Amino acid sequence: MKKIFYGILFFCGLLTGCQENEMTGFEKDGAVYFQIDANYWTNTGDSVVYSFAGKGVTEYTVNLQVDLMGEAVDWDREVRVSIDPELTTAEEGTHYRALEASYVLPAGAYNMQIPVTILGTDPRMENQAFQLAIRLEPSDDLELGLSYRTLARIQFSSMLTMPYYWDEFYWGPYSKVKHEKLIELLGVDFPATEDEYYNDYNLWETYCNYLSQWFAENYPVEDENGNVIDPWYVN
Amino acid sequence: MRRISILWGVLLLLTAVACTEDKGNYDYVPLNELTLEGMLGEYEVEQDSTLAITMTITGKEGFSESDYDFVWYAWSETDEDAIPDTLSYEKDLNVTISLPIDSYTLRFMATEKETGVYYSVYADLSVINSFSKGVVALSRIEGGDSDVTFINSVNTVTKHAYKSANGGVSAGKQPRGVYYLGGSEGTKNVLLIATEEKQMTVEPIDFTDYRSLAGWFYIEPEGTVEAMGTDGWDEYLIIDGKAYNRVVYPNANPTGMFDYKIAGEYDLAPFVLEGSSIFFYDQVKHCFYFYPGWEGMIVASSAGSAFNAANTGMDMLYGQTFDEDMRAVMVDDAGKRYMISGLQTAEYDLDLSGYQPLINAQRKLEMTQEGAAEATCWAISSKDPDFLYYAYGNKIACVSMINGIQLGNVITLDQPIDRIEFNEVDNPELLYVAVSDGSETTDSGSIYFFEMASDGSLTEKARFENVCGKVVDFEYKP
Repeated sequence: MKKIFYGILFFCGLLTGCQENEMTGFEKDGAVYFQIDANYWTNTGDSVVYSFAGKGVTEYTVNLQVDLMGEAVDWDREVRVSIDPELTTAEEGTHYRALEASYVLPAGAYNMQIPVTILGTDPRMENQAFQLAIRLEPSDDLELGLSYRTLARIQFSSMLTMPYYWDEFYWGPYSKVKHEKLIELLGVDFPATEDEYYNDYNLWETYCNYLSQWFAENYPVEDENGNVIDPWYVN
Repeated sequence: MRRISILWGVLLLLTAVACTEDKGNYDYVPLNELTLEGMLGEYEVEQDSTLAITMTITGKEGFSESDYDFVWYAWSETDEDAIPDTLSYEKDLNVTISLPIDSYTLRFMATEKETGVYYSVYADLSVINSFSKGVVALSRIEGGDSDVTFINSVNTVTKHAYKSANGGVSAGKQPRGVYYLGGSEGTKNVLLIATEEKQMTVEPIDFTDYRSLAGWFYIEPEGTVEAMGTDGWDEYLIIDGKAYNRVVYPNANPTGMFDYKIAGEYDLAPFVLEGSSIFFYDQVKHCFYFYPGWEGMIVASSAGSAFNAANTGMDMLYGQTFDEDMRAVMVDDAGKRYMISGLQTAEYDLDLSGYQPLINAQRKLEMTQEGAAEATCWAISSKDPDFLYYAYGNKIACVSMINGIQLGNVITLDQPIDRIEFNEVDNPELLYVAVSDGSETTDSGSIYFFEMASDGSLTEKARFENVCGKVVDFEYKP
């Protein structure tokens, strides 16, 4: 009799196991954060700096990378963003194109890009840099990830700005005179990202050599602070 | 006990079998060993021409052609997947070669029909066309225009090679030089034709335009290429006294670009002294340079008492280096000409963390030999770096750079000599000589091939009359 009782109990347990599993709460199993430097996760910088000076373009698209914490799933998920008015000095329509309220982290993906188009037509940008601050917001699908990586800043102007990777290469001390001379002589400006520089490494080394020799042949040329620019690169 | 009995029984049985008479057939027929003669070690044949090889076959037991099958076939040395091509089933080869241009192994097999035993011999076979390896002559013709003549390795001459390949377009006015770039494995090979009007690289296989010289530079250099040299890792061009380099080590970027000029205040003579290390000579400061690949030109130190390599006080008229043997013809302010010899070395000093370039001056001899003061062109072969050949008027003489003694015979040609140059790629004994009547007109010039002997004398090997204008440069194209 006791054996029959335990048998029925086991059978009931099996029936319970066949009940449909409702996915309550599963859709928020993931969080997102900005990964500004797509190549180095340990780089926690939150800013992208861009100058329209010497580029010959009036608009530029900055792709902000958003990374996923957690596992990828097999459906699209919503990534929400907002402009932080406190930290933003740029004006929508004048300095940047309006952002979407939300973007999509595609099924199976661990990261996605938010394209932000900035505009370089405002004459004020010759003397002033503007900032666009974008915050990640929680959505129905995704929580916020690393708290110190949920804000991205894009600082842009038409002034010459030192490329953030300047010190990684052999260009000597930065000066605006040196930077302007590059644009004047070669008609190009430094690429926006270190990756782009690396992609054309030999080209930029040649430009570096050329510019250094120009300063040698036209010695002495002073920088904006009255210091003589010494040739810095000897091939 | 029973097992031991069984073992003894088996052993006895085997012993009995071993004693059985061997009734095998050992009535062997001795092999008729063949000797195949008539095939040389290598053949070079132009596409669509006939290759004829007559084989002489002898056998220890005699030879009857009807007892054998024959086959000739060739397979590519460069394409592992290529299927061998059968050329003939005759004993003697006499076929029109239609194989693609390539290097092949040629095999001849004679197989005895009765036994299947075969004998074979091999040779290297190189199939070429009109534009395969050979010498390019760049010459000046009417109106200062350029003309390109090509003589391939089986002496087929192609006149006006550049114009023919490029729809009648000229290679440019005022030709200066022709250079073979990109010799390293994995690097795109091109011929550079440099004129004062334009500088174009062309496909070596057919002389069609590849890209302008500017297309090989991130920043276009000003001026005309005067010299080219390589150590197999870097390739150098001298353009209006400045050196430009690019990386060409094996399997580097196939179409690597040239860097901007090497920094520094220098004015190079138009010679790349390409030995085991690359040196240059400053025509103004009269010193030698070594370029380590960074930090600009380094002035070579001077050792030895024959001359001061750090300040020779002379201009370089001709310079050449073989391994460490630097040889040059110089002229001083008074117009006196000298032959100088030295050792050029560049050792890396670990303590100083840098190269220590050195010219060890060995000899300096004034050139007082007949015609030396009027000589217009010079040539030295790696075969013997102490034999200096020089041309004056319509004569070529050879002098020892060790003691100044005239060597061999003085060659006298029908017309004034415009250019002499050795083939330094695959036949350093072969001297190319260009002559012309001086009119600088189409077909006013001729080209001779001379062979250098160990005593310095020259023997004419081939002559190509009226195939060019006034030659300004030769370049061998492998």
